[in-house]
Amino acid sequence: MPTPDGPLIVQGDLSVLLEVAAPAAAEARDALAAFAELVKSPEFVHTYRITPLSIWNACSAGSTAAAILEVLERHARYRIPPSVKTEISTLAARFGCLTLTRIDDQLELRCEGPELAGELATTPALQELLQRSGTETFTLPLEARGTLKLKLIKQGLPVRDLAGFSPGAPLAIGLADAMGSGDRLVLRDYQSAAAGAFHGSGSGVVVLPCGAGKTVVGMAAMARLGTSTLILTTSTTAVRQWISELKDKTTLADELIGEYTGAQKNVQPVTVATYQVLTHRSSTDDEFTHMGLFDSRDWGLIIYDEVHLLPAPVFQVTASLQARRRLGLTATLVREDGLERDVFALIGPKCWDMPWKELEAQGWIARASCTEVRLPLPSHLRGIYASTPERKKLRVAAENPDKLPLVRALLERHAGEAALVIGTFVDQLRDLATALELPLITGKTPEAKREELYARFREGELPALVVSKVANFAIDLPDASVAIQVSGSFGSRQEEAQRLGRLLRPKRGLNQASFYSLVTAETREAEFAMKRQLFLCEQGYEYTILETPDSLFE
Amino acid sequence: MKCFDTDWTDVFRLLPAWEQLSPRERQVILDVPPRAAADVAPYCDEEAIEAGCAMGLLETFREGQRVRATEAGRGALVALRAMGRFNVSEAPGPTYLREYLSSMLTRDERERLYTKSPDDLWRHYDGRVEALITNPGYLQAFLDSKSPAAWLNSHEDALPGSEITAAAARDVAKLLKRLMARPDAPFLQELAVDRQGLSRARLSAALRTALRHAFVFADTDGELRPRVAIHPAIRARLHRPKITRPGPVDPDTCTTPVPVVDDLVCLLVFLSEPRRIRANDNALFAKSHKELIALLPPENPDVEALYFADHTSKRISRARYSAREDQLIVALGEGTKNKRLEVTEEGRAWLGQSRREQVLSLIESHREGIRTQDETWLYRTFSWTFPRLGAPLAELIASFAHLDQPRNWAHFVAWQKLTENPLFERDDLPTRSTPEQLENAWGDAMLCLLERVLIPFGGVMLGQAGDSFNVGLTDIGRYMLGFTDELALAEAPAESAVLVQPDFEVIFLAPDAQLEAELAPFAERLGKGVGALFRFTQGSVRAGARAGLPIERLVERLEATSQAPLPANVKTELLAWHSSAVSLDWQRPFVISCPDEATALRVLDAAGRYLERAGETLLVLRDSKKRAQVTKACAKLGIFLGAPPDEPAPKKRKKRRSNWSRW
Repeated sequence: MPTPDGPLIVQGDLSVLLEVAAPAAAEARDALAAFAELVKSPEFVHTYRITPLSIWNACSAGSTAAAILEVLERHARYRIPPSVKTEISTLAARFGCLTLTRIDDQLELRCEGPELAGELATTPALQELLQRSGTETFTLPLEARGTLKLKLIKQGLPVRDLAGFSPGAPLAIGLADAMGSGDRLVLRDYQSAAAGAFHGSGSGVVVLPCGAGKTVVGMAAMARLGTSTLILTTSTTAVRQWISELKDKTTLADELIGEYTGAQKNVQPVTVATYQVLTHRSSTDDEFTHMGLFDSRDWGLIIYDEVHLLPAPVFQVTASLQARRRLGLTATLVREDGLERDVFALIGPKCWDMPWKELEAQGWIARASCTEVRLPLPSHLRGIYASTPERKKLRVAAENPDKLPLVRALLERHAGEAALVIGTFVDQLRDLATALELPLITGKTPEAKREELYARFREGELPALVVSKVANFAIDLPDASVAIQVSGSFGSRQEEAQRLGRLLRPKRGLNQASFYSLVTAETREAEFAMKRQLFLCEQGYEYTILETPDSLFE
Repeated sequence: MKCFDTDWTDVFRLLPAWEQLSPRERQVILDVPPRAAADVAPYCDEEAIEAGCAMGLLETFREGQRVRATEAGRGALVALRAMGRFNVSEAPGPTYLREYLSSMLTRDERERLYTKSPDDLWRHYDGRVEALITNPGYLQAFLDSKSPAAWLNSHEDALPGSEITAAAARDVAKLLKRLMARPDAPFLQELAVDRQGLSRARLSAALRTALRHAFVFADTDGELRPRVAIHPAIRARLHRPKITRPGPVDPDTCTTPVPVVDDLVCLLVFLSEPRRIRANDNALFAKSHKELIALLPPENPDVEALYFADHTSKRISRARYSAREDQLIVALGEGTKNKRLEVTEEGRAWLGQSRREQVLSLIESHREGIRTQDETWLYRTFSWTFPRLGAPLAELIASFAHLDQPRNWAHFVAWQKLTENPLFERDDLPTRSTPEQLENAWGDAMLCLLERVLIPFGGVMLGQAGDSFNVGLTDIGRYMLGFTDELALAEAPAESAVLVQPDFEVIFLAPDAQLEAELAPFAERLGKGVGALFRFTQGSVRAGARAGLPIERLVERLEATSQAPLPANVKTELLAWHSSAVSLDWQRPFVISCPDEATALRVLDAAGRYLERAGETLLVLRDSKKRAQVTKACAKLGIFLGAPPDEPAPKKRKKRRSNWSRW
């Protein structure tokens, strides 16, 4: 029954608004998280969305349509639209109609009723996968498990996957009592909860803000499962960071951890590899040279770091790895190609997430202020900009030469703080690095050089670094507290969030970070900037827009 | 009189025997032609013929093979046949009644019914006769006249030797009163048996006179039993249950909609970009119509419940009508292929007013129309019948005074039109109408005032009540109807349950129709009622700017009333987007003249591949076919190009004559 101070507003499009300040908000949020996905969490009102997948995941955890509706009714402020009730009931009713079990060395798909079986038998997308074995049953090979689930999801049919997981080769691994620094390793509450949620769900995606310690969550999951683990991440630098963390925070012996990158091909019970090496091939007609890594050991767990960047070939292979537990880690499950649904279907559902602002309020990540500094296009460039072809306008605007003095002014304003100057266009970055007399890291910078510069930056030897998009993610620079973004990749929300993420590791002292985005006003760059900021706005970050950059020089 | 001009005592005499016959036998007897002989055999019912003979109506001859009406019985037979032909007591429709009267009365007699009518010139038979004789007032006029005999005789001028005495007139009155007291149609046998002190001859004379003057009607039931009664419409009116004024209902069950202001704002913002309309009927093209419907704010559920079908198109028509009448929009380009609707300066000024001022400006014209009884306003507001009936507006307004407290509308209208209807009292109506027509006219007028004047402007509060609804006047309604000269419209509430998110979404934690209306011109609508209802976008804010609406007031309102501070980025962008909108005009031959070089460069940025620079602020379009592309590209940057000067309509091709017509 709706109550005037109920925290939830249920909308006809299955989105649910949660007023954070309402009396029963915390209780409602905990209940809602079981069957709805958190979409955005600005300060006062969080938005959840009830999707078919979220309903089915709730059902797979034992929930029912009646229970879901009871939660909504109990906490709703207004009448729940009848269409919502119908939709939830209809979706929940579909769960359980299809069950997947393992019989010897193949899988059996059982349908609830011959009509459904008949429907599946005549669906063109499924015919090549399924072999009819009875009036209500089909068989299919083990490796088709993921593909089948994906295709059935697309048909609006959830599968109750009871085929189980392969335990993998056992491995004795636990979290260390003390880290290399001598400090005790204590899991934060949310890290423990996230690892537990993953363990309970079998496979899934953990979404935590940058700097919240997703790596630790991965290690906690490994410790719970005690099995051989393959970890995939985005770059060699990230691989080495993982290895460093594993050595620091787990009981694994060094020789049990292997690096599998362009530089080394060392397969061990715990192997850390890059996506790039997996998708490497000599030509487009050749096979992927290293894709066999997935079959080289009896992996019990595969961790996909920065899972939002999962390349398409890895997607395809993952479809055949459904018998192995899979853990996706990311801060920003936003893909401009809209394939989040496939991530959930192939890796697993989102089993844990936490609003960025909540972690910030608890002090686990730094407080960040975001400022967009708008500067005009110089008059001598206006005509050039106006007559430039459409696809090149962004570059002309982004490479506004008037950004240099602003960067200098910002660095002076934050003198003494570790700063990053981040951009997309290498020519611009090179000019900035030269003018500011700062080192530059781009994709062409050798790995060893990158490691050296990062290390000197961490140690405080270098006050600032100029970096290209190689530093967008998975690079741990804990003391960086200022980021000045001079250009970005079109409207990528993910890139904006990841760049802010470089600053969010908790800081000593004020625990405050500053993110600046320099944007040329009234150009394509300004339009893209607004889009880029969307994700962070949805997480509650407010951008201050500075329209008179001259104040920076005061 | 025709068939009924007979000695009814003959009919009275044979009624007892008639009652004993079966319906079949009665039918056989009535089938015998009264003025000719017929063979017996085709009737196939010798018993019936014998019965008729026994009653004295018929006689057989030629050894029983032929039958004819007797001299003595012919009159009764004619009357019974006539009564058997119609069923006035149960089928009182105008056509049926007309046939009855034309069969029973001569033309002179029918016309004479109108002797005392105001339309003495209209001496031909039509619905006016029906209106006269189905009106209880017609009977009452006779009964209330000082000299009923004289009243009757005035209708008998042309008939020689037919003067009615006072005593005979009293008999007619007695018969009439007796029948008026009956809710049903009594059988003639009953009247003949219980004559209430009248002899058969006097009853016969009274019946003849009453039939002649169409006070009463004679017919038969389904079994051919004769009966006499006053007109069923009069009977129903005399015997219907008394309707009293409905009691008040709880005002908390009602809500107050103000739809037309919201629809009008939506329409004017939509028309800030001129829209082409069809040349023949000024309607919006289907695509524009659909776009406009999507923008309309949600209808108040109590108003929505009034209509059986979706009345969105009616809302648009009403808004357009109101806008046109108040000169807020204008149709331009008459006779060209670019006929379009645009917002006028007055319309832009109206949009820029506060909501309170908008409401007040709209209701003033109606208040003035009511006060002055302006003829144009009357015809515009009411159906044509009401003005034709003399438009008793003062009485109509006075009737609404009873809605000072909410009451059930259906009950209220029934009470008004049946018992309080001033049209019944008027004898100066320009046209003769039946009582039903007068009732319907009054009910329609009340509904027009409600639907076209009060509901759209928030003059009433509404609440659903089963198949009907409850209605009560609001302060606006009292002001519009002239019951008060002072109106204090409440300003917008100081605080509302709304939040603006940093991602430009506006969330309503509780309904706030007024704020919705203020936001709608500047934001894209996402939902209705509560929840995430709007999102500010560059395009939507610029659309509001294009309509000439200032955004500063909205920003102040949001800052003052939102539950949380307005995010800084939202405020900055709203003001920046709004100020970046520029409206420009086309000039022939498609030269775009910009106010400054910066704007010219922006236009060039948007559509440079079609334009050439002709100066710091002038841009030229060489290919006129690319005008649409240029307009579209500029609009994306918030630069809106107005419609070019009107083009002449294309010449119509002459229809070729076919070859054969030359021969």
